Amino acid sequence: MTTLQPAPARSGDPLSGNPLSATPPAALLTGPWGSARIVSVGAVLPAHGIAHADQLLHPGEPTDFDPVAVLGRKGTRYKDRATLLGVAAAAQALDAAAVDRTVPRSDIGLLVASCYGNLSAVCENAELIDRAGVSSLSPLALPNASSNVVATEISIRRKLQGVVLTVCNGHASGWAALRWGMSLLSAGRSSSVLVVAVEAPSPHEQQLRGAAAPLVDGAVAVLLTARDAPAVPVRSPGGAPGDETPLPGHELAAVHGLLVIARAAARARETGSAVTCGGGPGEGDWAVLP
Amino acid sequence: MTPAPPVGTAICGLGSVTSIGGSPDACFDALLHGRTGLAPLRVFDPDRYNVTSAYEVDDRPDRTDRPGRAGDLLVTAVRQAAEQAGLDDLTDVPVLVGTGLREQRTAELAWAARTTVDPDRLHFGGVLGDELGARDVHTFSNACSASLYALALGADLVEGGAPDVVVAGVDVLTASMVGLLDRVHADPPDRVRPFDSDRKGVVLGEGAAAVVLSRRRPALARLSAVALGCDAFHVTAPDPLGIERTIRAGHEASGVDAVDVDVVYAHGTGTVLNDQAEAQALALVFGNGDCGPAIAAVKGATGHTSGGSGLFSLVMAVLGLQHGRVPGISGLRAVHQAARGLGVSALPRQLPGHSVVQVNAFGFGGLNAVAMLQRADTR
Repeated sequence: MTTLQPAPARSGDPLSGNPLSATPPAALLTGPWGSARIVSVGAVLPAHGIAHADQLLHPGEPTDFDPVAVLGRKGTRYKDRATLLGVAAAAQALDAAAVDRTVPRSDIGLLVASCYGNLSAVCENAELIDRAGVSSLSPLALPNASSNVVATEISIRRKLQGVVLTVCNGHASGWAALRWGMSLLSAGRSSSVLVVAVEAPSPHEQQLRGAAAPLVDGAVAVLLTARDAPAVPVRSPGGAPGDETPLPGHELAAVHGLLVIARAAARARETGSAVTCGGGPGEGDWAVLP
Repeated sequence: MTPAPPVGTAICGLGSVTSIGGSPDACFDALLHGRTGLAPLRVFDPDRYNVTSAYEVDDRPDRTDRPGRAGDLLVTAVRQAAEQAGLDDLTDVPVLVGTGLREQRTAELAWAARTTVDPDRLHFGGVLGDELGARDVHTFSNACSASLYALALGADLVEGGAPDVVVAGVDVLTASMVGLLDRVHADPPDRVRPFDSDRKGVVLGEGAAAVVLSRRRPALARLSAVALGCDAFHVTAPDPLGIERTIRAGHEASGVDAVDVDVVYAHGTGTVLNDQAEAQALALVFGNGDCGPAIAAVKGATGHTSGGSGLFSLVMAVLGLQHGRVPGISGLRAVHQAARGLGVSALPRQLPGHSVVQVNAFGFGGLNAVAMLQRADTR
């Protein structure tokens, strides 16, 4: 489990403290839309040997993702893969920081980025209707027809009662979600935001995308807080360039922005030096300072 | 003496297209006259569904569906709002789009035909760039409160210094959503009946709505706050206390008390659960002694236009403020017990000079949004 700072001690009323301000400074994320502290990271990219965020720079052997083993049996049936991957990555980041035990839940924003997330469920159910009418559908599939199913599942499981947003901005969705996370922090709508990006391969997205590189299978989560984040000039503060094409040969789609930032945070922590990373087209320069 | 600055953010342009009209004025007129957009399913095969009707925009004379329809409706509404505001160049203007189903119908059609889709046609950046030159487009897929969530983010941008921001909402029917809703209805609803004791559930509608928010242009009305919250309670069952919390947050953020609110545009989907929970929340905030605000609910006329519905209600609310009118609730016959004592009415009302309006939108997953409007001259 990767934490970029020690998890705060739990004491007293779990919802009344503000230990985020008492802990040592975490990595600083700065970009065209502002600055924030990276409190913790979650990552689940099983085919790439990343079961936990601490494997982001040092992946192990490819593994399977067993949602029951990771999340427990309760509530995993009838959930699509993108939802389960997103929940798992979110849980890593939240558990590492214990933030939902220490900050009022209405202060924690949640942004989920996905381009293809629920399209498999959408196309599959539409095809079932074409073939055999609505009586052939499972009513339990209803939540999967809504594009915000991943965010809904995370917010309900973790009782996050702040702003909950799903960003579907194509392949740039991850970068856009980071932008809007910064915006929620600077507008004071949230004191912390959990930004999650997820994609999951399916025959449906393969057909819709045509003969392209295989879609990444996985999710990355980054927990940001505005607390103690100094204003940093928008222009790149220097430092080594980050890894802007992680997992070559794969289409990262919405996961791209989050994976770049998560790896930059891990590298900044490991090396003690700033790491710069260009965003997607029009997304400007980002950097992570240790 | 220097007058106090106007409250909130100026709303300077309106756009809407739904099953009841192709412009904000046409839609508002239809609401006042009790016209609905309900019609037999226009392109879906009725043999495949139990539900027989919907509130679709009638733009497919050949009864054949086509990709990109949500984008087409969106372009119409955004163009209307931009023209009214005098905003002739959208190149660097942020355009925030709230949607429940984005272009999922396009994905369904492509899958059925085994063709491909440009990923920029699954959201609205591509079409708004091509048709209107907008380069800073953001699509938020946030269920049925999506467009009011987008409105909140847009208001934050203006507050943070952006001169102009366009906020829009849109949805068209998808086979998967119509079918899965159909599957969960024991008895298919024939139409939407908000707050009615005989309501049977939701019938989907189509439409787009848009507004221009600005720091520098003359206001049609003022947006004084948008409160957001999440029940984090249940996927499809709303929580009255979560709704109440968001309404009270909206009042506090806009500096009004419950007694100041003249009109509420309810979410009012005509489902058993929503209307019960919403009526309970309204009674908790306003009391149920017949002295609270007038309650409007547009979905009896437009159907549930999903992610675009909140902003459509808001566009109608701005016209209501300007004309001193409140539309009646189409489809309401016998008021449900939970809504008795609230100001619901099937008939339109004259309310000249009303000045504080609340607009509710609640989404799948307990996503609550409450927008507060005031007259353009409020200080």
